[in-house]
Amino acid sequence: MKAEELIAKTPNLPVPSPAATRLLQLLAGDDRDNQAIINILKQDGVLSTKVLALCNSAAFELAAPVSSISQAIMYMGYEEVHRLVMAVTFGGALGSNLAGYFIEDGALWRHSLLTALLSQTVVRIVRTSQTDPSVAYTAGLIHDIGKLVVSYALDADKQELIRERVERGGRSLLEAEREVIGADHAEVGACLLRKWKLPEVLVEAVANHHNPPVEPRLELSSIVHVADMIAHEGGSSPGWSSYAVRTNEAVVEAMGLTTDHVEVLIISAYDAALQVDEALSAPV
Amino acid sequence: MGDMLTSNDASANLVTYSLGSCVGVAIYDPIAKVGGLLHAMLPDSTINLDRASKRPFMFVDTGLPAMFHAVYALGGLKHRLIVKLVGGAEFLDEKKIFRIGQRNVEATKAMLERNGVALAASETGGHESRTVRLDLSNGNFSVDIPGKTPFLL
Ligand SMILES: [Fe+2]
Ligand SMILES: [Fe+2]
Repeated sequence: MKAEELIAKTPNLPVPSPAATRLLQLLAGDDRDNQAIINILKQDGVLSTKVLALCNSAAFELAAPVSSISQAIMYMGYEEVHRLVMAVTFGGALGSNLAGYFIEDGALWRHSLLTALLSQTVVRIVRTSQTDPSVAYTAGLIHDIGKLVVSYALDADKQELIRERVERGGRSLLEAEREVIGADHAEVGACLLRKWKLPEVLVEAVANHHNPPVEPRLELSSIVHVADMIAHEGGSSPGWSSYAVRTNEAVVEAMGLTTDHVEVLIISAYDAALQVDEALSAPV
Repeated sequence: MGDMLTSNDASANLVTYSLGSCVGVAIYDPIAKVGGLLHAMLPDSTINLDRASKRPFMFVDTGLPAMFHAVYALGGLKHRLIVKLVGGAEFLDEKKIFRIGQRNVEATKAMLERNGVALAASETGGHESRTVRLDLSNGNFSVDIPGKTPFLL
């Protein structure tokens, strides 16, 4: 398969540590109790150190420093710990400069954080949603992970071929990726997650984030799809021809979203972007 | 984003980054060497009036007049202002659910026209996200698109 071939050629991919992988697998199950999380974290020195450092940082204003993971989880809560593990695992690679897309240092990480927060916002707006907020956050955070691989495959000649198809052929970026390198970043991203043995619900969301199926409607991919489009319109649209993407408008309508919802979501994106920028500039 | 800059310092550059579906409106008085740059996200403040009173520059209909008045206060004169418009990118969509870019552009043009302000130049639509810079020493307004050579509008 083409996606696997492309992945095999790409250096420096952010392979999750065994502990991070198990925490990600917990997302799909119902057995997400604190003891399980503590046991997993204790086996990963890097993650444990970072959790304790964050918990003891100014952000949590503790009277006395904590020294154990179980105390830290009690103070921080599961969601905060999970976000930290995701940032440690994916932040470096997603924050790198992606020359194949003309994405500057940090820009895809900012877009990923914004899409993660907006995925949670969309969950709240779509009232029938059953999606767990941490699952929505995670799917939003890693939706574009395939771009790491595709960017690496796009040398100057291939960039030119993509440009030709998008600017003169009316193709979307995704269609052009498929035509030029034989796979698109959504498909490649899903393939990566499967390789890393992450839960199928995340694989599916990443695979379909640009074109979630109408029937059967897959909730998580629809949510990430909308969040991604809103992140673009709300001020984080990294790379060249970044608007050369298509919305699956039938899915958006089926979710009950109107232009008014889109405008309200863009206002949320403004707030979320302030939150992201503040977090990115905070001393660690 | 959702913001506005003005200055009467002729050595200053006003910059706003990554206008996607948002619009950037630059105004410049070449005699007084004062200018303003608006980066508005949405066409119409009626979607959230409370927000518009706190953050008028998020919306075209509240941001444009506020920018003009701020530039008048710095000594800019309406009849001398050179006005340029950039942004309003669109997805490759058939319907209108996400069509914010085009509506931002239309709202801007309509409001300028109602107020008798001519547009000197514009670069709107398309699928690119654009960064713009207004040089207050000479009014040069440059547009920077990822992967392309910057140009003056
Ligand atoms: Fe994508
Ligand atoms: Fe994206």
